[in-house]
Amino acid sequence: MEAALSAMLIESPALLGRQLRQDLSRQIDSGRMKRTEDRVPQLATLEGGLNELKCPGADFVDGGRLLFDIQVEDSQRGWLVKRFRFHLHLPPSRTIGMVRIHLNPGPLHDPVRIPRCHLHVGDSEAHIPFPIMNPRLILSLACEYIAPDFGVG
Amino acid sequence: MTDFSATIAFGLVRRIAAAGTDTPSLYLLISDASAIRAIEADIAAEVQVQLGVVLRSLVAAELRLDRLEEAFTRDPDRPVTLITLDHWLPKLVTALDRNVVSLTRGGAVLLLANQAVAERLLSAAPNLRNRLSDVLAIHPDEAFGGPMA
Repeated sequence: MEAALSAMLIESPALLGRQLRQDLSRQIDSGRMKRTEDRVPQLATLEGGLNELKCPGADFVDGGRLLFDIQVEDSQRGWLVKRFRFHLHLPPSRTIGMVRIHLNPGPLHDPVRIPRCHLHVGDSEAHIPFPIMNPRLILSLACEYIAPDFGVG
Repeated sequence: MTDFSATIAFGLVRRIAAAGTDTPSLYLLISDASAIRAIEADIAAEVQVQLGVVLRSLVAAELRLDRLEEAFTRDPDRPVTLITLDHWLPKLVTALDRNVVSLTRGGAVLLLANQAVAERLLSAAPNLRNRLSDVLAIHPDEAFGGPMA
């Protein structure tokens, strides 16, 4: 997992932000999402050489909502993804209320119990291992596969 | 001067993408003089991200009037052309006005100017004015502004 993360270099936080904004626009064009602010996600500089891209909320037409934040860290090799949290709130009609995909900022003592990248279903605190993927792919997965499918029927 | 619709590079390039880069279009973009460099960078980044091509950027002061046809030749790899008019160049504006058909033949053309230059251009270049797809007040992208944008 760590190798996958270190291989995932980001050209620049600003470029990733523009790409994510474009990805959100595609979801709007496809009719899955409502129009969002043009200034989402927002890029902010944090302490310790970290940059954060934050989407405080993008609404699906069916009543669902996606929030995410992604932290990237400047390194000698380039920008690396340090942490992300994607929170997908599903519509009230679903049997599952929420899906969360987290990349923790660092490996914990017990990676079997809490893998660095994991998925939570509903309010469960169970950490289901999840592959480390580029945040753009997570966004696409959340919008195109998880949002329309989880908790249906 | 009329208050024109406000946009950022993201919205502008979305419009170009929706129309198709093969569609001849001509936009006059009005910006604060101090923001022109940031807006150039924003447009270049959005053209790269949204259209997957490199922006063709021409500096107005370096355009040779006797070789405008060459400058306007369609480049299929760079279908969006940005011409920055950061000061008033009456001979160039006259030449652009006379050659407006050639100017837009290559795809989307973006004329970026400060308010004073834009006002003079609108009154001095009637052919160009009549061909404008839109006039927009463009602002720097606050979400991702900066040299690496």
